Amino acid sequence: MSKQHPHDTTYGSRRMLLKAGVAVGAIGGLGVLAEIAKVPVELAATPANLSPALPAGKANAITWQNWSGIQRCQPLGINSPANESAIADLFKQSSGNIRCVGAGHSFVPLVPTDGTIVSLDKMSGIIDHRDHLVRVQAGTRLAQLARELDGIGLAMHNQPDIDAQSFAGAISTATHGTGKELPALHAKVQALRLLTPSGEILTCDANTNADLLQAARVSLGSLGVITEVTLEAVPAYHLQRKVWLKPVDKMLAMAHDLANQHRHFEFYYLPFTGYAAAITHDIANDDKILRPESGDEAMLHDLRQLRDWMGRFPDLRRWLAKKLIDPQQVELAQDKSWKLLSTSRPTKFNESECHVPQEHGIDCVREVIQKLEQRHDVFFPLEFRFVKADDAWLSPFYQRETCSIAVHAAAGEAYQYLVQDIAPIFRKYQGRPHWGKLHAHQAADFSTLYPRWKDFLAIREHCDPHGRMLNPHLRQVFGVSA
Amino acid sequence: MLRTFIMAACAATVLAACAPKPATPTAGQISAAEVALPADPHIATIYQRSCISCHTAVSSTAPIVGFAPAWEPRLQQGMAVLVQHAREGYKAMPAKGYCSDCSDQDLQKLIEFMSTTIPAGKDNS
Repeated sequence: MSKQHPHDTTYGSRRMLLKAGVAVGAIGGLGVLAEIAKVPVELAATPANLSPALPAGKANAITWQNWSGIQRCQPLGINSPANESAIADLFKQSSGNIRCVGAGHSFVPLVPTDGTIVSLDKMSGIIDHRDHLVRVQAGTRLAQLARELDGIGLAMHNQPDIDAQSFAGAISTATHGTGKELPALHAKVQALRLLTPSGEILTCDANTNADLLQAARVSLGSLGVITEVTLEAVPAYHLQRKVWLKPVDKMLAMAHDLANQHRHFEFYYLPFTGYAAAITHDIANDDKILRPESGDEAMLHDLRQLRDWMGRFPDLRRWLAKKLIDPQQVELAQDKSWKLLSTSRPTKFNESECHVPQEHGIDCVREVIQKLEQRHDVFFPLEFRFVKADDAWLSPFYQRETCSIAVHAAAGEAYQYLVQDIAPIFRKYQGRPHWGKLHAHQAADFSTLYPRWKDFLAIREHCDPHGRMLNPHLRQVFGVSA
Repeated sequence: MLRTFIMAACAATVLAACAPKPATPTAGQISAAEVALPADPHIATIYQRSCISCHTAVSSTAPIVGFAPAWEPRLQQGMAVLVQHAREGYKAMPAKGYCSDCSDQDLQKLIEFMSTTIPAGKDNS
């Protein structure tokens, strides 16, 4: 349960930098001084320079792009089959590559193909349930699943920050939430159905095709099309959320204790402020509802303004932030678990995230913060989470208690540095990159990071010998030539 | 000291940061949005799988279902523009609104449902 903290004196909404927002806006009004203080912001490559480039002159072509806009392609078509037989027909009647899409929230090119994109939007919803075991159609988005589970008195054991993803997409990239004793979503998948490119339907659980289950739980959409999962849910529960600020050094010192004390703990470091925001969730004692207005967008706006107007002078930026931040602010919220754990993120961004052994988490994040703040255009918060180990072969949490460190850049601004500058630090600490987020690891790297890598490759070869589920990115990841 | 100075400067220059915030729905209005459903079963299915999550959450910045102050300025742009924004994506709205199989007609029906004003429900907060 949540413990009280000594500074729980004020309970307000989470606009941590409210005063800064006004203040920095005011500095913007000071004309010449503000122009001098502005930091040049490197913009992202123009669409024409994005990889993969789109072929010119393809009239009336369908264009697909991911959520943040950095990945795009012109597929032959975007198909929305309504059942397994329609997917089997698609495999039979086409010869090109097929890639499944969920919400397009991956930042690496997992989806782009010149073949066919398949969306499972029409295959969504709970099929049935027996006690806590729930059969779910693979295209069900997490937000819809949470609502439907709530309708039958159940819930997911944990949820990621964003809930727009399809269930199959979420587990295929090892999407996770935070909680030292809480594994990622895929660890709660007890069985699944997989339609391979040959049209064969494979079923697997702990007793039948157990190896396939451990391979398919996290498989990047490379084995075939997952059509159904059996999810181990938990009784519906209410959570109480608490958000508060601490100087970053204190936060780093107490992070492990907080992770031990709370069901969910994470922190965000607010660049060039010296402060981190702790967020804890614990089971609530009652079903009281307390919903303060979210201040996340306002906070992002304030941090961006602070960057825009004071970026050239980081010491002044830090000094001003410290003067304007009120560390006594605390936000409390209470609601159903699914209403608090996931949020909509209207401000688009690009992201890189790496999963490092828990014992190295603090050392690693300290270096990441130091590196990030060498760039004065950085303003997006860094996220630090805890994830419990599991046994899926390609799970970044495979037999490893983990800390996850995520760095972000606003959509439209430069993001390559998230990999170029930060990845060497992640590599130093044996980090396993998030499968859906920006990284530059290749097959040789993965073979040393994942003990069951070769076993997974063998199952992939068996399920899809002709590589119909592969696109150029996956060929690079798995080391499969075209 | 600095804060006092800056606050004074802000008041004097009437900056955008000090501009009034757009109207936000009450808890009762959100409660009403959460239980509203399109009458057409096909549209209701799409709405529940693709739209309800953002269009009943203030934090998403999406216009809340049935909340007139959020919809009025949008409707003034004309239905064709709103359908185009839904189809191609606009600001926080993802292209097709997480509904890959939606036709323009589906999108229009969804917009019509969500933009129809509904009275506020009981405030459960």
